[in-house]
Parts: sequence; C-alpha cells; structure tokens
Amino acid sequence: MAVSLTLFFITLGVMLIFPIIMRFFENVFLKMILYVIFSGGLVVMLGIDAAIIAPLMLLTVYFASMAVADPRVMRAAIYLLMAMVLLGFIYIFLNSEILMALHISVYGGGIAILILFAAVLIEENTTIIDEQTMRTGYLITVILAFTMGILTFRGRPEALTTTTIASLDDGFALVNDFSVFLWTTYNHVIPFLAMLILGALIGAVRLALTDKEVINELGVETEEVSS
Amino acid sequence: MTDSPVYEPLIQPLLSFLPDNMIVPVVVSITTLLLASWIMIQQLFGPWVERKIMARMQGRRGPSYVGWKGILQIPADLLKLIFKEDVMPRRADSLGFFVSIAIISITSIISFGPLPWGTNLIGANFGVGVLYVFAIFSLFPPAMFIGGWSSNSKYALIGGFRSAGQLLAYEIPMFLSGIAIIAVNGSFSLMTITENQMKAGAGWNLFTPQLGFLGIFTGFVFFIAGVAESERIPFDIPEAEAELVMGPRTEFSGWRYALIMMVEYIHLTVNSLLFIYLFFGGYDAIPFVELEFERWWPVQFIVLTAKLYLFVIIAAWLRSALPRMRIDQLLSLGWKQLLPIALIAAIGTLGFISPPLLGLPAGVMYQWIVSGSTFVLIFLFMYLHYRSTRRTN
Repeated sequence: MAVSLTLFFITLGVMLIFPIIMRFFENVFLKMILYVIFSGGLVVMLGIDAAIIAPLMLLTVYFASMAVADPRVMRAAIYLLMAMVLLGFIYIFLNSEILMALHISVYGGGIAILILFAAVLIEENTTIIDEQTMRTGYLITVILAFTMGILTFRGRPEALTTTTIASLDDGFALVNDFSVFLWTTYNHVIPFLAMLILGALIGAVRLALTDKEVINELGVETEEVSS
Repeated sequence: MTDSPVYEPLIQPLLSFLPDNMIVPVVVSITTLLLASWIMIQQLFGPWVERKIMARMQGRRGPSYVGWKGILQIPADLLKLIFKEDVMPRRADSLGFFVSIAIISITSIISFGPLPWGTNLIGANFGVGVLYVFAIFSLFPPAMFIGGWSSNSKYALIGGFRSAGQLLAYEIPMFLSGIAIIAVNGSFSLMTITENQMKAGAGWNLFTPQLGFLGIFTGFVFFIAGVAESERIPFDIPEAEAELVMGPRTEFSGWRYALIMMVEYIHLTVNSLLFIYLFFGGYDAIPFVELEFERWWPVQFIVLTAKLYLFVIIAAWLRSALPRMRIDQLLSLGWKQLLPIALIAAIGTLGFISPPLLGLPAGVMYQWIVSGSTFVLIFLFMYLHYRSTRRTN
C-alpha cells in the first residue's frame, strides 16, 4: 500500500511539472512523442485504472480549488460544475456507477444549474469575499481535497467489503457497522462531505445576514415597484 | 464479454498479446468505438433523410446537387464548417465558450456506452444503464446555459435561459415515465429491458396487456418529452429564429457550430433510441412471438436501425407539420400536464403489476380495476385542465 501510494504521489508530482517542462520544447512532433512516452510511462507505472484516475483526480482538485479561489462568481460556478462532473467520472473507476449517476444528475445537473442561475444575476466583476477569506477558503479546500483524495484512494475497489443485509441479522451493534453497511470503506469520507455542507450552510447564513447595501451592490433589486 | 458477436473476429486476436489488466478497457473501447462510429455515420445521413422528407411535405426538392440526390450535402457542409475560421466574439468568456462545447459534445458521445445494438452487442453493459444516460443528459442544461452566457450576446443569453428552463421542465416527466418500465423489469439495463420484451407472449411495453395498456400513457409522455429535450419544432423555443436568431448557439461558428449541430442530431438519435428500447421493443422485430431469426445479431442491428429511421421520419413530420409553441405554453405543458400524467401513469403501472403496492388485495380483478381507474383519472385530469385553460383564455 505504502509503495503504491508513494508511486501515486510521485506521478502526481511529475504530472504537475510536466506542462512546465513541455514549454521548453517548440517542435510539435517532439512534443507529441514526449506526450506518448509520458502517457505510456503512466500506464506502465500505475496500471490503466490509476493512470486514468490520477489525471482525473488532479484536475478535480484543480477545478475545486479554482471554484473557491476565482473571484469572478460565474467563473467559480463553471469551475464548480467541472469539479462535480469529473468527480462523478472518478466514481466509475471506483466501481460505483450508481453513485456516479446520482452525483452527476443531482450535483452536476440540478444544483449546478441553480448556482448558475443565481450567479448570472450577480454583476460581472462583483466579489463578495475579501482577499484574506479567499485565501483561507483556498487553503481549506486544498486540505479537504487532499484528505479526501487519500481517503478515496484507501477505499479502492479491492478494499470494498462484501457485507450484505443478510449478514447483519443481529442488528447494527454500533453506528460504525451501519456506516460500513451504507458506505463501505467510504464511510471515512462522509464526515468530510458533512463538513463541506456545514460550510455551505454557514456561507448561506453569512449571505442572509449581509447588509442591504451590499445586496444592492450585487445587483439584486430590492426596491418595491410602484403600481 | 465472450458472448459479444464482435468477440471472435476482432477481440480474440488481441488477447494473446494484451496484459490482463488491459483486456477489459481495450475491449470496451473497441466495441464502444465501433457502435459510436455507426451512430456518427447516422449523423451524416439522418439529417439528409429529414430534410428530404420535410422538402417533400412542403412541395420542395430539398438538397439535390451534392452526390446522388444530394446525399453528400451534410458531409460537404461538415467539411466546410471544419475548415472555417474559428471566431470568438469580443469580451466573450473564453473558458465558458470552450467548456460548454466540450461538455455538450463529449457527454453526448459517451452516452452511447450502454445502448445495445443486438444481444450482447453493447459498449458497456452498466448496471445503471438508463440512469447513466439520464445523468449524462442532465449535464446539457448547465452547459447550454454557460454557452449562452459566455457568448456575450443578449440573444444567446436569453436562449440559454430558455434552453435550461425547457430541458429541466421535460427531464423530470421523461424520467418519471421511464421509471414504471424500469421498476417492472427490475433492471436499469437497456439490454435486459429489451430481452424481456422479446420473450414469447410479451409484447412491446407501449401496448402490451401485461402492463394493463398503461404503457400508452407513459410512452406518450416519454415521446413528447424526448422531442422537447431534442429542442426541435414545435419545442424549439430556445432557438426561435424569428426572435432569438439561433438561441444559445448564435455566436458559435466553424467547428463549434458543426459540433453543436451534430449534438442536436445525436440528441434526437439517443432520445429515439431510448424510446425504442423502453417502449418499442428495442431490437425485437415482431412483438408477442419469439422467432429464431430474431436472435441473429445482424437482423437485430438492421431492425434497430430501421426503427431509428422511423423515428427520424416522425420527427421530420412533426417539424414540418406543427407550429412553434410559446414559451409559457411550453413550460405549462411540461410542468402542469406531462408531469402529473407521468406520475399517475407510473403509479398506475406499478399498481397494475402488484396491487398490494397500492393497498389492494392481489388478484387479476384488482389489477384491471387499477388499470381502469388510471385511465379514468388521466382523462379526468386532462379534461379538467382543458376546461380551466379554456376559461383563462
């Protein structure tokens, strides 16, 4: 496990540096050859599953962090949508198609369109968070994404339990049993998701308590229309 | 995997020099690529069929110069569009302009995965088959909205709003009407649903007595919602060329426009295919009987393609025969009429299959009581709705 984790993170590191290295090469054919060697090396080193998951995870973390860090609201909403979609596709490689379908249809489709509708009503260059809050949010996202990435990696398909309802006739002795039954080894990830939702709730309360002037700045019409 | 008709000629020779962990991804890729190529070929000739039929209905000749009877018109248009200059409006959002096209085109192509073209002739038999396609579909509204917003054009923005609203309004009745069929079959897999309709004595879900003839309602809702999801006349409000030029697609040109038009036809194809799998027997040639030749995969392939073209012809017929609806009529039809009908029909179908689900005792008599009451309820609802709208108008 330790070896494969180390390999995984080395590859992630190389993938981060690779685009910078590629800037030094002008020749298109040389670039193409390097890309082929790089992708082939990934597949050989990690196996086909992890070689696809690794870039997906990297992109997901990038989009998730950009969703917090980009001060332009609409851009942030687009980044969020991309992060949701890519996260959905990661679930396929973790053998959980049902989770993928639900995640994409609820978060990638339903929630994203609500956020986009709300975001488009805000004036284009409005920022509702100051620099410091943004930096803190960025840091929290990176930490959360990193932790969730490791935990998701821990719950790779071979580690999934085969618990069924039949084997739990004696009832759920512990809350842990129940969470293992519901989410198998992903039960470690759920508290972090809960934290994210809590963060969103606090954000919603913060917005609700914002002064009227600030809301006016956001472009929302608050004056009554005279008949 | 070994049951697939393409296994012996195409895949088996590869297995000898492939490492174990590469076999499944390579096999899935090859099969999906083959089937996707076939659907992409349909995108080149389906529009020609549609344009010819529309022209005939309107007393014109349609495309007739490029190739035999103009059959190469669409490939020629495609080539022209690909080689055109790539233009992006000033102050357009470059990320959104690119992301919307990327999401729309990539997701429409990967939605082919769980669509079977014959017994075991399938890209990837996901356990979540239909749900996967619906999940992929749910990405279109945000993508169209982003495309409209990022174009920096008022027509595109209004079109984007309308497109997102319309797609949301029709996705729910579409899925609800499919739910009854999924529940009755106990599977999301489109292949299993089709195989169940192929059995001797089992008719196609649209008009089978095994569903108490309630498939007519769910099928009707699914078909209407499918046409609306494809954003075609009479439901092409987001485009509405007289008002909005080309809707969210206004500012896209060159290869982007080619991709968007291709996606529009892929939408029509996938929606038609979903209707065929769920209600129209899939690749089954003759309902109620199980004949030996129906099991031969080339026959299934041809039958499915023929059914697909039947629906392309119906779409062309609707397009040339009906006027465009207003935006309020369109949303009212989706939320106020199709959604309740789909809900009643879905509950009725489940009640017919198992009356105890609705708190009734089991028995054939109760099944037909449920079916009859559902028919009455739906017609009553439609009559009341008609009366209330007549008063309002």
